[in-house]
Amino acid sequence: MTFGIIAMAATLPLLVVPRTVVMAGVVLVLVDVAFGFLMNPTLDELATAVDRGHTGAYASVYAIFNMAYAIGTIGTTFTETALASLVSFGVLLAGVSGALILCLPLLRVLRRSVGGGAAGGAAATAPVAH
Amino acid sequence: MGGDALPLLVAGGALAVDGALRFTMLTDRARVRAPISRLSSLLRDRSVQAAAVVVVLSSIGWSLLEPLFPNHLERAMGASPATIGLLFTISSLAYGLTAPLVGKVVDRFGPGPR
Repeated sequence: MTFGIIAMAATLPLLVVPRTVVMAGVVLVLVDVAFGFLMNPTLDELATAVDRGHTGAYASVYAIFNMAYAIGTIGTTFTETALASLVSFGVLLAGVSGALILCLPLLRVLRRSVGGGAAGGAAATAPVAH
Repeated sequence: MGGDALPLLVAGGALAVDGALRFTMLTDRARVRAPISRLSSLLRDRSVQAAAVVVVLSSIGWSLLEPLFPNHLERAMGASPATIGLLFTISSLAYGLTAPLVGKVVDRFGPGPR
C-alpha cells in the first residue's frame, strides 16, 4: 500500500509533462500500474480484517470499499467543478499527490495499531457468525 | 462510428453476459448473516479505516483524471476523441495485464510495513 501511494503520488503530476500523445500514453500506463499497486493491497487489507474477525462478512467489507470509492468520487466531482476554472490541471494533480504523501503517516499510525496485536480493532472481537 | 449509444449498448451487453454467467456458473457458498452492527464494527477496525482512506484518495485521483485528462490532451496536443479513447484503452489493458504481477508482489511482500 505504501509503495502504491508513493508510486501514484510520483506518477500523477507527470501526466502534464509530455508534449506528445505517445509519451502521454506511456505516463498514463505508469499511472494505471501505480493505481493497481495502490488498490490491490487495500483488498488484501480488507479481506484480512474479515479473516481476523472470523465473521465471513466479505460483502460487508467490500461495501465499505465501495462507500469509500463513492465518497472520493463525490468529493472530486464537487471540487473539480469548483477548482478547474481557478487552477490548472497540473496543480490539481499535484494537490492529490501531496494529499497522498500527507496520508502516509496517518496510515502508518492506523496500521501499526493493528499490527501491534491489540486485538486488531473491533472486528477482531466480533462474534463468529456460523 | 456507431454514435453515442454504441458504448452504452456494448456495456449493457457485457453486463447481460456477465449476469448470465454468474447465474449459471458461480456456485453458491454458505450465507453469512451480516447485520448492520457487523458493518459498524468493521468500520471501527483500524486496518479497514486505513484501507478506506487509501481508497478515497485513489478514487479522487482517478476521478480527477477521467474528465480532465482528455480535455488536457485535446488542448495541449490536439488529440482526437479516437486517440484519447485509444490511450485509455491501452492504459486499461496495461492495468489488466499487470494485475497478476501486482497481486503476486503484494502477496509476497504484504500490503505494506506496519
